[in-house]
Amino acid sequence: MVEIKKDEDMIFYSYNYLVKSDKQWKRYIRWDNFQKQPHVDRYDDTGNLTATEQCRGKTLKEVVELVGIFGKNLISMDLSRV
Amino acid sequence: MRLKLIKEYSSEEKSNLRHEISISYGSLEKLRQRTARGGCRDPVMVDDFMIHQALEKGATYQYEKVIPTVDAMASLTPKRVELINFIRLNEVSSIMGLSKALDRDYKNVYDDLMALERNGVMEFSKEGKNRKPLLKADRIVIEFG
Repeated sequence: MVEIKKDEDMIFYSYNYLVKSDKQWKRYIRWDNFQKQPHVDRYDDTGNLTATEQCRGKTLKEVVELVGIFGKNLISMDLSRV
Repeated sequence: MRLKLIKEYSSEEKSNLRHEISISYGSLEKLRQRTARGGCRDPVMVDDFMIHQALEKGATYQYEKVIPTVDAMASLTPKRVELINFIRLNEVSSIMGLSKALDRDYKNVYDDLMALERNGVMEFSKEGKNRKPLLKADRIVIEFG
């Protein structure tokens, strides 16, 4: 997770959801606002980007809640709900 | 209950971090170009680029690691807390030096340091043949709830 703030404003954030598999952490979901575009990225088992969708900006609290909801079913989750 | 490890980077550490980021991509310019081309395909690169850019503009940098399990609490034994305090307050150049200074068995000190490394409290830098233990956090906060 990276958060870059200027005063109280969040300039950049990236929240990554990683799953440990074969002793390696693999990224599955990432929310960030790179180039001021809030979006969500989904990755496959090999780390390749498989989907990118626009979304409204996410806070860390929202991300933690989402991860909690999807939990172990993350692989089969409906990306549109993210 | 969870532990939050926090480290506020000094100016020198921030400068080193910027340098490390640039070097790992060949140069800052290469990082800039690759980020512009690659975007989301390389998320680590995007983070590195954004961090570098913020540091360049004089941002403060705070590293935080959250250890959410009760096991993490168990790993902070009194002896390990003593190790952390000693390293925080003294110049320690090797594990052997640390075990001598604390008058403790080398293996026990080594095992404690490894446990702290696994939990993200400690890291090591190589100095010749020695491994120098370094604290990754200057604050450890216990959060309830």
